[in-house]
Amino acid sequence: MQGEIEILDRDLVLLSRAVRYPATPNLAAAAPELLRKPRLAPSGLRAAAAVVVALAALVAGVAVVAPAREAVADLFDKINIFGIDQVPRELTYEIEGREVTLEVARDALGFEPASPAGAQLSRVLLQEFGSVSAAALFFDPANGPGYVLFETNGRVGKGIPTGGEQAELVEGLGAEAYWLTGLHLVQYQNVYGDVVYESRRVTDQNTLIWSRDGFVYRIEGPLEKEDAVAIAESLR
Amino acid sequence: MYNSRRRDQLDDEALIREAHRGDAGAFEELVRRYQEAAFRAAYLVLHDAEEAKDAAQDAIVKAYRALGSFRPRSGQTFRPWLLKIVMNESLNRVKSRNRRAAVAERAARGQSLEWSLDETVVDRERARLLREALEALKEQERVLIYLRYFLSLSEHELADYMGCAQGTVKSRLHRALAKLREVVRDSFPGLLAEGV
Repeated sequence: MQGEIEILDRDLVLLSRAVRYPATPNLAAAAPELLRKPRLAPSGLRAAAAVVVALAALVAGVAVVAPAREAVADLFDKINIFGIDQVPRELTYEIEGREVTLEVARDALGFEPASPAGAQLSRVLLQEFGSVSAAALFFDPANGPGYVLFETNGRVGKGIPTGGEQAELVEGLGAEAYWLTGLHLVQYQNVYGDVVYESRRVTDQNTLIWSRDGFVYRIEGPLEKEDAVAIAESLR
Repeated sequence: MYNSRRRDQLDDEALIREAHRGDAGAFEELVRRYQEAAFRAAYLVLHDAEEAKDAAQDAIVKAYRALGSFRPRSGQTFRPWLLKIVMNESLNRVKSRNRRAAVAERAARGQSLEWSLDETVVDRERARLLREALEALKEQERVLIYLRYFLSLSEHELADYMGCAQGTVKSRLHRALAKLREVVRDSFPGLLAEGV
């Protein structure tokens, strides 16, 4: 009922006016000193986790990936696959973003988004999360299922249910590549390895994810692995 | 490079350009303009002045290092861009183990982690219930309400913050309020009775 919304609206306005904020510290005065501080080196935990993931990948070869047990954002790889007990139910499946032209997406990303050869682009969504930007390119080919190609300057984390064995290393595609099936969590991580919580969503679409030239690409859709790899290889 | 007198006359875009070229004074002026919003955003999430200060400071350093990704020519504005970094930093702190330990320690010392309220403006009990209802919302819904009601971001700024069209902002805000109404109906029905 609209009346109830109006009551809540009024109460929120009152509550917002009633908050007595502590005095704002002079952050501007402290800024020069803060900016002179060197960046933190990766913590021992993060560095160790990165080594574990890298070793696991080396040992596994083309086999199924053993997910790292904790969602530690390693600072060396652009793709972070980790195990989770359960896929969070409250997260959306929806791909959200601002509808833009390919040119606007290019300006925001700072690089030219790649497209599959001969594919018909139906729309572009731009996702911006602070320092992390991503473009979601929607393709509806006449002779196959539609899919979404994501391209980002950020790191991408994939949380898969532990023991689900649904992440497979793919060889010969970019610096690192994985094929994922089944329900899983997707999230972006910024250059410091921090998870961008607002970017979190879930997907049950088959996914091919790979990194190339410092950017991360992924294809989500009802595709077979071979078809997704063929699309990835055709990117221009 | 500009002196401090001239910097305060520059618009945000010019300051960002100068800061990006390495003029720390230009960034300092930007921080001066938005430090209150940054600190208050962190305080709303963390409920603690010291922690809010730390979160806002860390966010400012991250913002400085990420200035290259800020796109004023694409219509992006600085306040929502900075607040997004502050919110992410604050929300990450809420989730961190260290923070949970610090909160437990402060609770053990009898220190309150609540917003301080002016009770001449709002009824104490009503405010308590509304805050509990807000806490029951999803993080994204709660943050949207903080940004709109408590930090007074315009729809244009919210669209910038969320990376969506202004029309989508309206619908998400409406959804957040509808969700709040659901929570209130289920758990705090007295809030919907008139007579504040």
